[in-house]
Amino acid sequence: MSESLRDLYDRLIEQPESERADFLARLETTDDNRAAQLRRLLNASESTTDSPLDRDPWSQLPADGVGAFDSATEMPQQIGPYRILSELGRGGMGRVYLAEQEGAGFRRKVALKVVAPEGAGVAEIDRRFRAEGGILAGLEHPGIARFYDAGRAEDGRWFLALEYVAGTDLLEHASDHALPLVERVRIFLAVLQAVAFAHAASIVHRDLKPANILVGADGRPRLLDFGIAKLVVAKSDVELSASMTTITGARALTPAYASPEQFRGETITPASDVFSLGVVFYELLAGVRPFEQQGSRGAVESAILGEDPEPPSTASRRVSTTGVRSSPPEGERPNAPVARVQRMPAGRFSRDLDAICLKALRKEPAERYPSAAEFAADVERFLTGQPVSARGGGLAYRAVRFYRRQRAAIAVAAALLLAIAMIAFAASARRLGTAIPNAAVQSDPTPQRFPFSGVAASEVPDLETRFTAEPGNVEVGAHLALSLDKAGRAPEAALIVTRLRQIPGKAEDPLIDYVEGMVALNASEPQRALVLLASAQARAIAGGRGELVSQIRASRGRLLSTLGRSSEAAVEMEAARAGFEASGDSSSLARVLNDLSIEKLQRGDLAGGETLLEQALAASRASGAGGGGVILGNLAGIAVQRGRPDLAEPRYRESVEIFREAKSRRLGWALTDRSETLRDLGRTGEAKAALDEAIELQTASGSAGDLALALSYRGAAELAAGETDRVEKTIAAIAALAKSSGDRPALAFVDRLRGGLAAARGDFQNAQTLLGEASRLLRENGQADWAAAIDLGMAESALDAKELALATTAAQSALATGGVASAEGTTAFVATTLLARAEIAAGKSRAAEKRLSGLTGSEPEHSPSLQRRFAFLVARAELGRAQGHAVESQRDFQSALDVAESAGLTLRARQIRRELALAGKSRPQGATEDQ
Amino acid sequence: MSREAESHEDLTGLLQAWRRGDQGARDDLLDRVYAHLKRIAAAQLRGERAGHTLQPTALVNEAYLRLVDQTRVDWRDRSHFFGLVAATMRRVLIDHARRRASRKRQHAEATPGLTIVGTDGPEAELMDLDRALDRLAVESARAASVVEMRYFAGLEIDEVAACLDISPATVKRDWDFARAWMRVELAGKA
Repeated sequence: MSESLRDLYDRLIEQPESERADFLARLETTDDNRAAQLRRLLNASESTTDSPLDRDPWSQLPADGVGAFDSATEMPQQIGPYRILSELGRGGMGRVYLAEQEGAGFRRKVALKVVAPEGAGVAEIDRRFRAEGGILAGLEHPGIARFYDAGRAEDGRWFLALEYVAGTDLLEHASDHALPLVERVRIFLAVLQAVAFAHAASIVHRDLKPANILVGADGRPRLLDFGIAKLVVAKSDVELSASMTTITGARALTPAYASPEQFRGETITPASDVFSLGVVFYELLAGVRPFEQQGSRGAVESAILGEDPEPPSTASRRVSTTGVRSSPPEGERPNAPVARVQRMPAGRFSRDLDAICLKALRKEPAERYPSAAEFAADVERFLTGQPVSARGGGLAYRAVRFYRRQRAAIAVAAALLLAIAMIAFAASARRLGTAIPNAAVQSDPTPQRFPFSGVAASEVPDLETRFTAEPGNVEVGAHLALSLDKAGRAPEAALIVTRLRQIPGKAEDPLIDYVEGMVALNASEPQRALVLLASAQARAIAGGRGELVSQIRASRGRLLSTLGRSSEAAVEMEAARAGFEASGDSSSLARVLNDLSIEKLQRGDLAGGETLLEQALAASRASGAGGGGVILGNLAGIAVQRGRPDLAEPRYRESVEIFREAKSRRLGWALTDRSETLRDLGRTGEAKAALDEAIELQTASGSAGDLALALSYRGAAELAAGETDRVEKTIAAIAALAKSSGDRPALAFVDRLRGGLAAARGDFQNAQTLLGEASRLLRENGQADWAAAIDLGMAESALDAKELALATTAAQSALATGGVASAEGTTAFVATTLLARAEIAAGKSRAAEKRLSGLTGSEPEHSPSLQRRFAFLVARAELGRAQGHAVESQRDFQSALDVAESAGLTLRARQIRRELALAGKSRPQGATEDQ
Repeated sequence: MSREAESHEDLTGLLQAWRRGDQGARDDLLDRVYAHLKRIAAAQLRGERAGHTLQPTALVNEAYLRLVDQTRVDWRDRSHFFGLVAATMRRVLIDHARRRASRKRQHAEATPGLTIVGTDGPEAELMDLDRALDRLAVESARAASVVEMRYFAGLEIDEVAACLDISPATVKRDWDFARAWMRVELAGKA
């Protein structure tokens, strides 16, 4: 067979240009047909115009739907029983006409939507229209446009007949009337109430946006198109999610207002509407949308999926000073004119609105208001001056709101000390919540290939030499960059990354993205890190580098987890786990299992977390690389939370030994934690020795945050022992650290200790303010479990001041924190005893008794945990006193006193002695034990 | 959930069977992938406003990530999958164009007085290109595959090279050839 045209073409192109004519001429003599073909191809290849292949085939077809076969000017006369009057508009779903329906004795105007529903066939769509249409037709609310009818016209077109509403969209209305902020909030509340009505009927809107919220001449908002998206797109969420992938973006949703789960193709729930409403609310308040600055769909999508919006008040101030505003996505109404948006004032007013708005805009549906009803309730609370639940965390805030409303006389507190409880909690929480995600499990001294789990600052010189010798070796360079970063030489690390990118052919090496991402992470740029890791992951997958994929997913999961995006984190980590299991990489497996366990623990699943940690420990031991100290520490933390310091202590001891041997910087942490456990066991002397060593180590290592924590434990112990002068000194040391390092928890510790001192002086009001501030700071910094411990202290101090309502609120706040400190945890235990004490003080002994009996099953009076024992005994003593069981009450007070004295809790002991003395005095003559 | 998981399993298995040489598995795979891609691409095509175009590479990647259990396949499976998807993407788009063209006709016939839109327009252009691509495949099957991957699936030169197991330079030459070929074949039509 003769040579193919394709091969001939190659040979022709390989000729120097001057010889191509000769080549063709020679060919002509044997095969003039081919020569002619080739000549045309050659001419075409030299053409400067576009080849048909230079166009993007996917953008050539105009938008489909009815518009595709309607000419621009065509307007039907009649569709089904409806006479068309005029065209109202066109949207993503199809066209909308104003039409008239004439029936027996009535005539009404309707908005008629001509749609192109998705579906398998006429019968299926028909069935869906009947089923869903029936539900929607039953939705009657003054704030929701009625759904009349759905069907198919003679010409095969599908239509929906909806109540015709005249009005302007919400944002336009607000800007046209220059509505003041509070009016905007009021009108939005009416929107929320209408959506809440539909949510109560299990109907989700799915496409809430300003264009679907019209305000009529009467100033009342009406919602359009409720449930229509579901009707048109698919019959079920399963199908909906199948067609709504990240990439396709789903046609039915309006990107700027769509929720992350809609982009991700996950199940749509009322919380999805809450998100869209959050975007509308934000825009209504701030004059800009929370996410996109550029109008492109991709930018919006990645912003909605990945970015945390700034508070609307901040945006509002920026807008009003710079005039920056978001550009509207194509085809959508532009944003409300900026000039008409009132700048949000500073102060609590805005902080409440910020909190409400941001709560609605959480990435995780579970973290938002579950439905419009809760959203509405919070907005209502805002309008009536009550504390809003979105700011539930900050007790300072609550206390202030509380005082503002109650204006009650504030009793001067008796002497008190803060909950001993908070001390040990903080210890375990530190371990479980924050320390681990940034630290590798293993401390492996031998340099490894990726993921360089043993990266150490000390390796820098060696790696520098190697990288100089092999400047093209990405792995060595990557290792060097990470080591530099670890050594605190971030700018040099960034420089190495730049050099790596310049290695020919390596610009897109996923390893480089990974390293840059890790450097960004340590520079506290989590969002950028997330993007880089995502890029690394995509490139590793595309490059078929399976060994990298698992490592990247593990790192990304860990990062997502620290950002609080739990469900995404779990997906990544589970995938990484499967990868490591398959590849037999036990040391990486141990690490990811440890991370997964933290996810579980943060959700309050102690048992699940423990199981994973046991597996992690096994994997770590199987890897033979030594280590496992962190995992042991975490297991110990679980035991602490379960009120079993006796089980925790040996595990801490083992982890201390491991870290000591490895000369790990984590030794300081382990010692700190162990000291608190020892304290809870009443082994005060050993506890002090361990803490002293920890403080010495942390001072030497120069880690401000860790040192501040250890010092705060020392301060708490001094406080409890009534050593006021020492506390002052310790506070000064922490304050200096906070000032030099800017460490936010350190600031909180200062407030917390000062609050403790104020409480000890009987200065209740200052105590509350300071403790509340500490709690808020910690919550804002993501350390809710530490904050919960401080809430307990606040509840205790409120009890002492007979501020029962605040005591209850504070204890409930601790109880509601969840996470590590949940249900079976000691935080919950102590919170329960405090709630019971508040009930006793309010004369509700029966309720208190019931509450305490919930705890009695586990014999809390014999708990190995001193703090549990103490909290329980005091509560039972107070209950006994209230119920007239004087003898039992005295016995419990006496036992509590023994606990306090043995643990060096001088202030507490003094207080109980006073109680006992009072009881002795007031004891009626001749009173004996109850029968 | 279970439905999704099931197809995940099936597809991964089919992909492996196909790589072992089972051509029946390939056809099965094609049908499954086609159904999936059609659904997401069609939704995209219908809903997109002008200027926002579908990103075929992203679509392919998405299909791969969604449909194939990556813990059970290696990179060669992935290349195979991408090659397969490229052909499928072509089918999705051309079917779409054909359906639209036929609807145009039906509508024109059913509406007296409406000008018949005729056979020009982007639908016709795409269908012409599809036929020209069939002719190209006769000349060089490989060049036609390159077009499928670059043009319909949006893959880069390097990615195409990996899928077809040829050098990037060869892909580049095939692509240049195909561009010229299409200019000649579709001259005066586009």
